[in-house]
Amino acid sequence: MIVTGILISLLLHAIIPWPENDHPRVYDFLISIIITILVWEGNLRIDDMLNKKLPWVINPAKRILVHLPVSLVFSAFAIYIPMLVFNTYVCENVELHQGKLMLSSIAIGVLISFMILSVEISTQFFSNWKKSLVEVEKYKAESAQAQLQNLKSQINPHFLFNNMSVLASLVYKDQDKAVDFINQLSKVYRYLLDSRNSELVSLDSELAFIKSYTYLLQIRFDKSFVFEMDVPQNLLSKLIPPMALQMLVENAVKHNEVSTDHPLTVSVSANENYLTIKIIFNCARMKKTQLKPDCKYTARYKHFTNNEVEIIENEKSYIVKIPYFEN
Amino acid sequence: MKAIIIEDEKLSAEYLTNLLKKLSSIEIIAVIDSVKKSLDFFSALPTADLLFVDVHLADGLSFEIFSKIAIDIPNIYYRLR
Repeated sequence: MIVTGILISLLLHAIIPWPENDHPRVYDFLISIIITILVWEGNLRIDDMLNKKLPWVINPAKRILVHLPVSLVFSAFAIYIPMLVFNTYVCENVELHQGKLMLSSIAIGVLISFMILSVEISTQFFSNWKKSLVEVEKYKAESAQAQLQNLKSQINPHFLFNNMSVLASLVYKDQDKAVDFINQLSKVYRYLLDSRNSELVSLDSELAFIKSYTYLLQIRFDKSFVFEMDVPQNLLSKLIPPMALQMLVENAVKHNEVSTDHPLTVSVSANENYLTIKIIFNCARMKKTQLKPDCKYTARYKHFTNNEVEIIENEKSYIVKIPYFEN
Repeated sequence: MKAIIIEDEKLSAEYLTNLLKKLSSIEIIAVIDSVKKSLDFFSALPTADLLFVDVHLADGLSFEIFSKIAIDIPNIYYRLR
């Protein structure tokens, strides 16, 4: 930076014909270097400060509108004041006090600042833009992955197969229940189709879907699977990603014991900020693998919101808190 | 013929029971739904002609039962999941 200062001052002295001075040339260089350092460092501080108060990502237009004038005004003063001091105390030459010369040096200084500033601002702007584009691509990839997983797991033979076995038993045993079961199964697949292309769904529709889904589970596991839900009416319009709840329930059933000795309870509740799902498994055996999907799960969420999915593990239960989203 | 079912899903056990009743003379005398209960049940050495055993039980694989105690009754293994 000091090197640049020297170079700029050399440049300036080469370009501008200074009149003969009554002081050594070295002072001229010195003042140029001081001015360069002031302008450079000052602008760096301004940039830092604005990065904290008005970051590029939040409001690029405003940032440019503020950054440019502030920097240029500062640069102008950073040139004017030292020169004033210089002229008053060091250089006795009256001609140099002429406004015209001062003005031209300020003008050149500001121009150079402006050029450097423009390069700096554009670089920052484009690098931030690129970063956000990369974020979007990453999200798209992860979202596609999650969607694929979901599709695979639902239209996958196992899910269908299990439910068909249950249905087969029901047909002989209790025909009314069999019909209910078929209806709920259809509702599940209907929801899978409808929500496939949505980024977000209302709590209302996701909960309705979960009711159907857990109905199937309750028929299959009888008293070994308990589902409870308590969500206030006014929160039903909140938005969450589709299948968010279902993924957790499916996981809970897959990795925990569901038996008469150790029933599995899934309890869903909600408050202003989170949808809470609590899974009580009542059993010492819990496979560690159960948490793995949650990592991909929480990763998906990071793209949408600053609130994170919270996972609280206890000895006999675990709780997952899902934040809501803005559209 | 008397048989015992080891199966954790109640509905499936009922289905098998009814199917056997319809298609054969096999009568189901007991249904046991976990590895733990099986170990207790079979240590009392009950008598039966046949066992229908689901591989996946709620608290483990049914093979665990047979590795822990010797059961003299012929088994038919089946899978639902």
